[in-house]
Amino acid sequence: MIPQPHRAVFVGLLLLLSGCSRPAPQPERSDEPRLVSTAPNLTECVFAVGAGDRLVGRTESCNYPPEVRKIPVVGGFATPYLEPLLAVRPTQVIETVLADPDIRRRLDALNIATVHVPCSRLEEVPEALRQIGALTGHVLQADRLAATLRAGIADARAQALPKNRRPRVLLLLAPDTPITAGSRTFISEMLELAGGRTLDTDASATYYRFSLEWLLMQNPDIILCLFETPTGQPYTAFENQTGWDALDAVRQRRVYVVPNLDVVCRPGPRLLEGLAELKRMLDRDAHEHSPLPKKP
Amino acid sequence: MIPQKQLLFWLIPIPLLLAFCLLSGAAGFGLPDAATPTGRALLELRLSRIVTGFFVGAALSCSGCALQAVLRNALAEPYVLGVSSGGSLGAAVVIVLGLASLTPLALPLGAFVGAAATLLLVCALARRAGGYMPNTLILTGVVVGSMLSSLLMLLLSFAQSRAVHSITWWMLGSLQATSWSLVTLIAFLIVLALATLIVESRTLNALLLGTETAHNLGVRTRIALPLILGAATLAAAAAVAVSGIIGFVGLLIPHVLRRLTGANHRTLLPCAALFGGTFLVLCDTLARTLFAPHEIPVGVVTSLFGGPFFLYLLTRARHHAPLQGEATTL
Repeated sequence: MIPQPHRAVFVGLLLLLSGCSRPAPQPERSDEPRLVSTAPNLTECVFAVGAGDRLVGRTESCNYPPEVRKIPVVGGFATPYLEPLLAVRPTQVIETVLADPDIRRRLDALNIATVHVPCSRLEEVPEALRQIGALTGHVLQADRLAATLRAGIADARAQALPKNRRPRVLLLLAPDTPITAGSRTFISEMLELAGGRTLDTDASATYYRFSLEWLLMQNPDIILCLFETPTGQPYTAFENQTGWDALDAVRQRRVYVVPNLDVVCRPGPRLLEGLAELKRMLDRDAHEHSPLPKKP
Repeated sequence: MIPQKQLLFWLIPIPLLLAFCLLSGAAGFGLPDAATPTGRALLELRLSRIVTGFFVGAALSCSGCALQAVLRNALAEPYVLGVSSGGSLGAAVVIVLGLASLTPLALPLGAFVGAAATLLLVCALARRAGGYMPNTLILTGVVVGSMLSSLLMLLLSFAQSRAVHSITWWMLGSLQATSWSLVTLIAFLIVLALATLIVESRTLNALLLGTETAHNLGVRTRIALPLILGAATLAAAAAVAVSGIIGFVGLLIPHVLRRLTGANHRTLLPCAALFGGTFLVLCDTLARTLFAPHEIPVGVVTSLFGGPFFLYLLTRARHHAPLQGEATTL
């Protein structure tokens, strides 16, 4: 039983809440697509083809270009939240992966199309740009950008050193847990293209926890840290960790932190920037550590 | 039950099993060549994991024994007073704030502080709620634990996906200690806690009969209870700090050994330390070699291999004499 005065407050609150309805929707042209992106790399693609004004919803992780901050957040990466998503009245939801595939059926029932845009591997990015270009009516700009990316990738491939002259690189994804990427991931493809060599990883796995014994047997030339570090200083935390301290890469201080993680890790329109960044790091390393013939 | 005299024979395989664990690893079976730097590093790595595994296993088993006796509950285990949730929250805060990449000691320190703070909170609350009554302690521990778990979930839902991965992996548990100084520190804490428990063996035996009876038998329960609870949870907190949450050892080993050696804590506790430590080292060896170069969480192995063995003992016991001194009341 709610006491009398409280009940008055309660009723008042209810009345107040009932006044909080949404303003009437404004009429809009039905042929203009209203897009919701469920991945930061797709958001970048939409802006890159010049269709940023078509985007009405984004994820929490979307942080580029800076204009995205004005677009409402309607979910996390691969996990759209249904109610905020409906609130922005999208016509299409673009996804590269969905945590819960069932959401596609629920959106279908609400007359919102879900468009699958494969964009998680290197080769898929140019095609993804073209697909988004076609979707938003920016075909020309998308085709031009896709051609630039393809040319950049082909250039890098042509310039690459033969495998046995490239440094062997461990991709390390966390400071506290030894997690690395398998060879069939975007970041491994980027590394190979930039002139590094991945270790003999488990090809079928994407990201997995590895055993330190395996790492000791592999003994990579370089360790590439793909995580945020609080300081801009060289990363030295491995120098007094059991196991790590015996690695050549740690002893010779060939442990590098990637300064701009997003361009390197995100399969999107900025991949040539990421490639250049990786190349710069590997070139600087090669300059400082003149390639000694490695004993088998 | 094994007669006391035969118990010594059961100790013989322990060094052999530990030696076997030292020989196996992802790099292949056999003793690594100590003449090469890589071989030395491999040997050091395996040794570090075996030492850590042994101490953590011993800590969890003994802590489980003591808590099952004090709380007189068959489901009691080292994490029952919320140590795991507190430790996880502490570790998660360290990971989310990015302190983990500053120094390798940040993560164990955060976990230990979280676990210890939780224990103090639970004990203070339980004392206000009417002394260290078993059911009050368990309830307080469970409620505080689930509150801290909710905070952890909140933190996880706002954290970057990279941090979520790190936290999840930390919670699954791993015996890869970052440095020997950490191993030494943890081992010191664990030895201190286990020595306290072993010294208090007689008190634990008396407590099996109930707090009141123990008091009437001359046990100074006001001092002994907090001491035992503190020591058992200190051991668990130290284990959590170095290895994350490793389930099942603290629940299973005490039950198995009580069936094999009886409920007298003067033999039960030393046996729990030896067999629990060896069991965890064995499980960890499987975890790091079964799917090399992948490493699977050691907690998966402890319950997958330990579970069937315990169920076997449980079903076999029906055909034999009823077990004495089983710490089961609720």
